[in-house]
Amino acid sequence: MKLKFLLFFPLLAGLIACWLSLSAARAATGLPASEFEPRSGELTPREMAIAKNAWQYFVANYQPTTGLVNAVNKYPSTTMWDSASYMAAMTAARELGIIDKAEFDRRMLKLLATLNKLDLFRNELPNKAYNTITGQKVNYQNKPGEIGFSALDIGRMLIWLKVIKERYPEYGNSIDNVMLGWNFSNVINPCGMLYGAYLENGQPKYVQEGRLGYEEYGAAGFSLWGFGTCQSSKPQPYELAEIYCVMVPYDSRDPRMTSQHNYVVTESYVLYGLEFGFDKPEDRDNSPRDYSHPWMKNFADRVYQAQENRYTITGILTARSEHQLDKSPYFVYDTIFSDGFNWNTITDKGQYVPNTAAISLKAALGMWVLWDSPYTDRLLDAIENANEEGKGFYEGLYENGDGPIKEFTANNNGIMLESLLFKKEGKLLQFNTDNPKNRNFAPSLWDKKLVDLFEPNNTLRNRPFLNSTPAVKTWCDQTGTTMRTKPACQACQCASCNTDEPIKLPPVTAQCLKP
Amino acid sequence: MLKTLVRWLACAVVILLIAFALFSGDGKGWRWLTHGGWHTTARIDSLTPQEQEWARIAWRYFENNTQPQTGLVNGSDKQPRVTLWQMGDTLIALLAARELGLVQEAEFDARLTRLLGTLNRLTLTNTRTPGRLYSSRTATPIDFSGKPANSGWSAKDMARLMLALRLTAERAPQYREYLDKIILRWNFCPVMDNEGELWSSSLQNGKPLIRDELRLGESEYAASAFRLWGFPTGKAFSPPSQNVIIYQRSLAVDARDPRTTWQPSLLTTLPAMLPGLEFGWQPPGVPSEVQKTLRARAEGVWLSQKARWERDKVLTARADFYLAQAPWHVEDTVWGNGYAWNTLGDDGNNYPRLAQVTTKAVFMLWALWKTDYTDALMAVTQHLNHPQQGWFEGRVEATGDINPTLTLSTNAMVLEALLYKHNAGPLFENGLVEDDGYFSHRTADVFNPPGLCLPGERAARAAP
Repeated sequence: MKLKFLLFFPLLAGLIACWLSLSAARAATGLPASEFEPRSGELTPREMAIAKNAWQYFVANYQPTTGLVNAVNKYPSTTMWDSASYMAAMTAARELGIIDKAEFDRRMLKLLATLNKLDLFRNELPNKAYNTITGQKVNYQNKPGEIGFSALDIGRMLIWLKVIKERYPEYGNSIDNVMLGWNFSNVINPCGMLYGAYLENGQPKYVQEGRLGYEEYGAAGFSLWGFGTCQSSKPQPYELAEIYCVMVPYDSRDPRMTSQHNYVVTESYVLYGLEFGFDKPEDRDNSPRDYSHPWMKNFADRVYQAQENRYTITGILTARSEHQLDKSPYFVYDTIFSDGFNWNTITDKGQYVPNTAAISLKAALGMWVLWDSPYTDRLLDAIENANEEGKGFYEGLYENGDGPIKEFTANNNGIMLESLLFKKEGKLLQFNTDNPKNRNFAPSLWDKKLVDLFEPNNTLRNRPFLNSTPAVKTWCDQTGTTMRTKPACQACQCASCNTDEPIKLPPVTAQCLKP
Repeated sequence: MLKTLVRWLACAVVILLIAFALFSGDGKGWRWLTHGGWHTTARIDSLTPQEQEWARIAWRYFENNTQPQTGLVNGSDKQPRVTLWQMGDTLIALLAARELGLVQEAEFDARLTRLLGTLNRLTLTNTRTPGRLYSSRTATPIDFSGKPANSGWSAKDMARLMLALRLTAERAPQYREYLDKIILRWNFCPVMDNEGELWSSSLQNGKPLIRDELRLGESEYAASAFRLWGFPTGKAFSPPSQNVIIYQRSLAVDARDPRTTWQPSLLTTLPAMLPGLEFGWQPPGVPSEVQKTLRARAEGVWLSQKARWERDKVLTARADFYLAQAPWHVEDTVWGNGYAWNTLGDDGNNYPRLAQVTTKAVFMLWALWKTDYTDALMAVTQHLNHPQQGWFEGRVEATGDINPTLTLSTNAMVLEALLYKHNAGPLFENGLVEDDGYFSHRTADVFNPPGLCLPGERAARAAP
């Protein structure tokens, strides 16, 4: 008996050693953040109250003449980005039962009508800003005029047009018409790089737009509508910054040369998580913990972890995003990293304004829903009542203790509503309409135009090719449509980018947490 | 019998051969052995004729720019201004010139004597600390335009001179007493606080502004120099640090924020490599963990520069340098204020077009590491000189142009690096101030203390 026990002992010890080394190895390579699961389930009364309060913003700032909503409280101007946030808010309000279908339809019909009638920048794409009362294109002072377009704003709009079209196919016609009215010649190049426009001495200039995080998010919108987005969907070029023991990736294009800040904020990653569930844009599968876009999930985990670690190490509750202010300079990039510095808070001119750093409510709630952790519980406790009756939630809570930022925006309240809808329904882009791979595929208006060789605007407006599947072919044969084909040699247009190139993840944590 | 004799003879021959190998040729072999030549990466060997010529060219700068009245050497060619750092450079260059046979004993004595006299008569500022900038003609404090001025002090520059004085005391011990007297004139009360932090003073809007000017790298180097004179070590040895990543290598930089302190946070060759040349990264009297970090950080700095050459094919040897036009002085860095390979002017702007392969950095890296990379650096640098004037500042990365400015520091650093090679290792044997020297006797005199916050006095005051 005794002898037998002794025989077992080395085996047991070996097993324990094996288990220990395995767990140590896991601890060395992984982030705690990747162990936190997204929250899901019906909303509790407390969360419902947050949703209802956030919706107040869109009640207060609705403009009946155009169906648009002011981007900032009482200021009658908006952008495509903020209008997309409004569409997100509307969807959440309907799905959460804050408004009924009738209210939703009244609002959506009006909004899509306005989108269809928008006066575009150089007849290409929506201008950067519009007056919400008149629907005119305006400059940043809200005076009539045009200033250019933003590829990222349009990218977010494309995502939400797609989400609405898939969720509520009855709007497909209106939405496809919006798309067919736009000209994509200058916004995306054959390598799939995104370009924004601005005016210089009255002439339009097109410059590469988007930095790591936002760039891939914007590109996802284009890719949903069939555009090739190879270069903007890649994480490269990036470098790592060591921030409280986490290796946080940032865009390595030099802000001193390009005059574009390479900021790392929560918003871009949170939006990707909410809307795509960290899946590839075209992934029709809805399983919540099967991430088909691994590097995006991994980078988001790092951005989350750096903020949680900052709280653990310094005691400062952290949820950072770009946000408005209730005083000059009115808008800051409140970042995890930007322009060489960790926890940089800068104006659009690059001036350092550390006193305006704040807990961003949209970032906090987004993190709360995507990472179920004790830290995000604390964040929710901090923000849940930071609202005003009839106005919605505050933009943020100053990190230095100066209280709330008494400003209200469509984007902040929209993303908060989105987050709560994510808890109820999982990733927000849920495919519903027909898959072109199905045999009984019935193409939408947009698809019909894309496959038609004799549609002149396809080339003129740089519309993408629809992949030819047997179903598409069958449909073309039935209707007598001559199919547009891809040029045989795609590589000659863009030899340098390979969509299928595997992404190798960089090391995750620094050594400093180890004893 | 015969067998034993043969064995004995064979033994003797082998011993003789070993002795010959070790002690022939100036004791080259012996030096190689005793200085750990079998495990070092550095170049330790007597100078080749070509390297002798390099040293001679560097010494030309000193011959051309010595001011006969004071023995001081101009900081830049024909510019009669000099800082304390540059005075330290002058002393080290002079020691190198003697060891390398560029000056004879008599000239060495004449030059050193004149310098000692001047340093002992140096006009101090009204805080009784040495000033930031001196006229090399009159040894009085001036500003950049040459007008008499009182512009505070720099702990960094003081440290360099203090270190050079200790090196002189070790290599020319007969002058030790006079060297001690130079330091005994200075007032250290405002320079070093009780926690061992070093403070500098500068003028801002006509008012003195006292602040902690030293950043990671410089701070430990300055503290090592103060430690040689027995000052207590402390805060200056452990500046707050954070890590940045360059080419997948984590490098420590100072964590104090340059956006709020207005003091750039830099990582560059000089502060990392000087402790290597001078102490083999083991400054005496310094805790061994500090010595270990010094060595590890120097490794990081040189390996990143090597990596840039290997991966991006850009020859890289970064150090601060001077220019003949604005912005005059440039901090060319491995990492600075948030960016890798940043090139910052003294005005705080970024001048990527001015980045250069800096001569003094090349010589230091070349001396400390014998590799293809340092050979490649030396290959583009070895002709960057005027045989009658000295070594130029460097070669511009962007264009390949020569930056033909001539400065004291560059030429001193060339001599220092060559001395390191000739000396077969670090310049200091020990360097700490002696217990029975004049300095110790003077500072330990409790009945007639100098009252200048010198190290012995601190101990006396701390006693109950």
